Amino acid sequence: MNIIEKSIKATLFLVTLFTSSLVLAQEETVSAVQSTPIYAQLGLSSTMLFTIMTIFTLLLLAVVWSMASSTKNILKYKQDEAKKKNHGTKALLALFALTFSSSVMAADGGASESLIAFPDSVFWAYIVIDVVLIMIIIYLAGIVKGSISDIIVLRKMFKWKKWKVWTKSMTQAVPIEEEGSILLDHDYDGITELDNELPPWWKYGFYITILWAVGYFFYYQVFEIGNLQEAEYLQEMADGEREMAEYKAAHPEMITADNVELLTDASSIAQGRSIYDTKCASCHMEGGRGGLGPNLTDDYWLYGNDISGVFTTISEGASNGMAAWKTMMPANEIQAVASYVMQLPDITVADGGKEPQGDLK
Amino acid sequence: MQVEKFSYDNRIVRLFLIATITWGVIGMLVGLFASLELIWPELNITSWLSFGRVRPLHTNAVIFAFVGNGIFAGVYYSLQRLLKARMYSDLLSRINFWGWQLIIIAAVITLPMGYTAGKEYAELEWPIDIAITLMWVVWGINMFGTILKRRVKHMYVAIWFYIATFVTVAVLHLVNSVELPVTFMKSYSWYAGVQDALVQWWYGHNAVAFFLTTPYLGLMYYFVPKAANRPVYSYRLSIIHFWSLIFIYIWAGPHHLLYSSLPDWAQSLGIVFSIMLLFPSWGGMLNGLLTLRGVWDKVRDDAVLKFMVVAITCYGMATFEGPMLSLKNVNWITHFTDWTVAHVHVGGLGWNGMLTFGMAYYLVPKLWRTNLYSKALANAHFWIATLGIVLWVIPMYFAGFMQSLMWKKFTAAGSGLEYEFLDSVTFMKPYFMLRSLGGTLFIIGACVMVYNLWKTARMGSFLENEEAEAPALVNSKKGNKGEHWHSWIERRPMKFLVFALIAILIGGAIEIIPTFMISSNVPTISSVTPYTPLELEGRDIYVREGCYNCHSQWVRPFRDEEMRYGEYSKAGEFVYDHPFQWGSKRTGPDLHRSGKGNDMNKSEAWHYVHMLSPENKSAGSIMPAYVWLKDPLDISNTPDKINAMRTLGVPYPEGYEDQAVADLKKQAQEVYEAIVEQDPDIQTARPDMELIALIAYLERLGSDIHKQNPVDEVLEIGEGIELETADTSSVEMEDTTNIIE
Repeated sequence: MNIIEKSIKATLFLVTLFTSSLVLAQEETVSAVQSTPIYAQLGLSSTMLFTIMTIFTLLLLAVVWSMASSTKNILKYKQDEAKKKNHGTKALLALFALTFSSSVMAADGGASESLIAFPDSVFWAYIVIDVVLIMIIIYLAGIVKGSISDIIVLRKMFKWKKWKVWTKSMTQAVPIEEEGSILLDHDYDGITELDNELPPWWKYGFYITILWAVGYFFYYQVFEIGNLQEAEYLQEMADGEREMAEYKAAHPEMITADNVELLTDASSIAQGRSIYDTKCASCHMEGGRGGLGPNLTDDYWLYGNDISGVFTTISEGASNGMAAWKTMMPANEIQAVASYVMQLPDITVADGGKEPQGDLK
Repeated sequence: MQVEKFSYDNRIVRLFLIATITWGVIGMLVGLFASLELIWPELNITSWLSFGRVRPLHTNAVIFAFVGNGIFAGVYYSLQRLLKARMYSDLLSRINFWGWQLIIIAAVITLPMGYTAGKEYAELEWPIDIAITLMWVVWGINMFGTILKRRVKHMYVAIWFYIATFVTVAVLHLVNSVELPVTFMKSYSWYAGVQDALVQWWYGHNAVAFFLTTPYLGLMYYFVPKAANRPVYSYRLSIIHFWSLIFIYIWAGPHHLLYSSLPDWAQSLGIVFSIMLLFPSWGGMLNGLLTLRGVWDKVRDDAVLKFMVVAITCYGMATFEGPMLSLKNVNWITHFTDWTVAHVHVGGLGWNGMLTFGMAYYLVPKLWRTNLYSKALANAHFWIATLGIVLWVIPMYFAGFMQSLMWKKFTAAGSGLEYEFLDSVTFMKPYFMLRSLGGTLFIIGACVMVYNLWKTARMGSFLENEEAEAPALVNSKKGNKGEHWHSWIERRPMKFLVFALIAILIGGAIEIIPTFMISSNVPTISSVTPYTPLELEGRDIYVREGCYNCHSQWVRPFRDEEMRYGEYSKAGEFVYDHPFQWGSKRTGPDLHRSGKGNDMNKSEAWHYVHMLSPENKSAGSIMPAYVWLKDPLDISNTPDKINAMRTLGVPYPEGYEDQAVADLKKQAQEVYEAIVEQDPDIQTARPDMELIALIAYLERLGSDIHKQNPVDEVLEIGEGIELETADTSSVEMEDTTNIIE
């Protein structure tokens, strides 16, 4: 038992040292890194990779911790030894966690914009830590496996007393039969008090909430990484606008002459132009200078002169031979082509345009 | 060592116990009536039976009358026995009892009359506030007098909780109730807007903590081991969870104000401390439940333990739910819904109700020296009450969740909202009915208990003074060899008091002081001006009728809320609101953007018809018909109100009080003319009605930000505020850290 505890301690200590040295070294190397950072090569944002690596490492740590404690338990039963407190490992674990979090903070210290900077050196530090942790896990797994296969009694115990072992490890309660050993000399109107250990799940749960709280506060209020109320609101409003636009695009039937809006953005105009060139240019000619159909670039109009009017003319057609396009084109395409037509630069008769038809509007 | 003979005062315990049960049944019946009003609004027969006045009566009755008397009953019983001493002064005990009952009677009279300070769970007006303070001090002196003449060297964990209760409730009540009296039964909160909200929820949250939780944990620590005849599971757990609980609890208040104009840093503090509160709370649950190790078979037979176990379990559930509701993404859904109401009732019915019942089943046979009249009836009570709780909370959890989803549901195209607010009200009705059914069961159970205890008492004979003996305490400060470090403070009640006080002051101070001292925490808006005299009077009517019980004035910064109500609420809009009226529950829609210039604004005539007959404007509405608002408006105190507001920092010009009444009448005439012009069918309106003032207030709410900003005309007002807020965020944090340091 002592050997194993010592080896765990030693390994953790080495890892701690190693991490701190990496963190220290990192400060100098950050500026030197010029090539594409790893997170970019992986197609992730630095924050994302940082989060993934952190969570993964924490998971490994949790596994190591639980395996170490179960190894301890197994060996305790195996050797039927008296209970020994293991403050050393705990302190080391705490130290390790501390160093670990300080490395996280150091990484944050180098944050450039709003995101966490995640230089490659830190990434590799993470990898090294993870590899070490995995090695520890394999090592511990070996001990657990070896011990179990060795002792039949232990197997029996695991079969029959599993529940008891579990509840015991969860509460660390002294069995009722033996509780005289922890009965305090208190007597309050006949009420006595035991002095059971704090249930480990309770204690570690409390620690975790405290860590979470510190992390939360740092994440939102100190490093200002997370979106607070105002930013969240702006994000939600932007998302809403985007979703509405997407819905509109997916449901062209929603666009009617009553609600159609003039599009002015370059991509819509380009879309309108390409539709125009394939479907309209045969009559209205290139650039809208007019051919079989009237000149679309001047200020004279036979029918509607605004986006709603032009939209109607295209979709419903006109008596002079203009086709009704609504069966051949979705409304959003009609909108695009109408918007394109609306912004066409003037081509006068002198420039080769067709003479004006209709009223000046 | 000389053995001293003395006796325990059981009469005071009996008095408080009878009061607990009596007020408990009354308070629950009032709650049932309020719940029925939400199903049948016709039950709002008169002004004093209207929901807005009945609901505060219910909350005050169950908190301060039912649980309050329960605390005193349990403390007066257990304290004497734990300290082996009679109460310090029988006279103080009697004063404590009768004073407390008079306060309750005063509440029962004044709340339905509409005398209210307008802050939740602190509605009672200033003279009653003073009486509460006095009675609390009387209790404190009596308790500490007893502790000081004790015959037991160390204070048991129950007493730690009693001390924390005493000192914290005193601080909370004193700070939150600072108000400026205008007349005998009317006052204005000293604080305004965001600051008032922070103080109020620091109070409101910790009223739950230190009135409904810590004293009852103390009772649990006495009655559970006594009833189970088992040692307390873990002394060190008691120490850790006691100190962590009282230290952390006090910080969590801002979780009632998430997504409000409270500064972000304060909201975040509220969240993180709420999460850290989970395990300290569960420490109490564990110590209670694990004390029953080895005697779970007793729980099957013993009514007292049965109630206690359900109480502790409900405590565990409520204290798990609390931190979860404090997470922003959960709060985003649950806030303002009936979920919150369900959460409160797991605590109220489950923890406080069931523990009180358990305590009563323990005390009555002990005090009357007999056995319980009927175990079967106690068992029946247990099952009826448990079923009642289940029927109460589960439908409300579900309905609260659905309610929120309905409010937030957009149309497929995203350009509008799927449901009218009224749709969510109609949806709730069947669940409201189930809730009332659950409540009815709970009350039936309580009545069964009353009968059972009555019969028990009749069977036995009451012992007024219970003889006891114990050796005198000598050298109370000297420790034992090899004792636990915490024993030191357990021998020093005054130091214990001071340490507890320090523990609970830290959190409050760090959150409240910067919010008051650093101006950037409440960015002002120059276009926001004080209320006109008529609007101020209308606001007082809004407070009097308890509109805040159903209507919030706090549009949260969400897309759905902006679409439903209008631009989200800004801190600077509330600077003249003494008291703030943000509310905590939306049984009706938010009203902060009901004023002119907002999309949801309704005409004066609409309000006139709607207030007198809500069904007329929105079919299916459950709002009371406020026919009594046709009464003439009392303007005799208007100048005093203006003066009081000026004292509180509202910039009315000097001498304006002389002009106020004339201005009020002029504006009332304008509102009146608008009403009859908009709807010529309205024949009954008169300019001097209370309703006119209320309409003037509603037409003003949240409209100032639409006024042209005289100072900075370049920026749109909304943008200006946003910029200011963004700029100051970093400053705020620095300032806070300075103060912490």
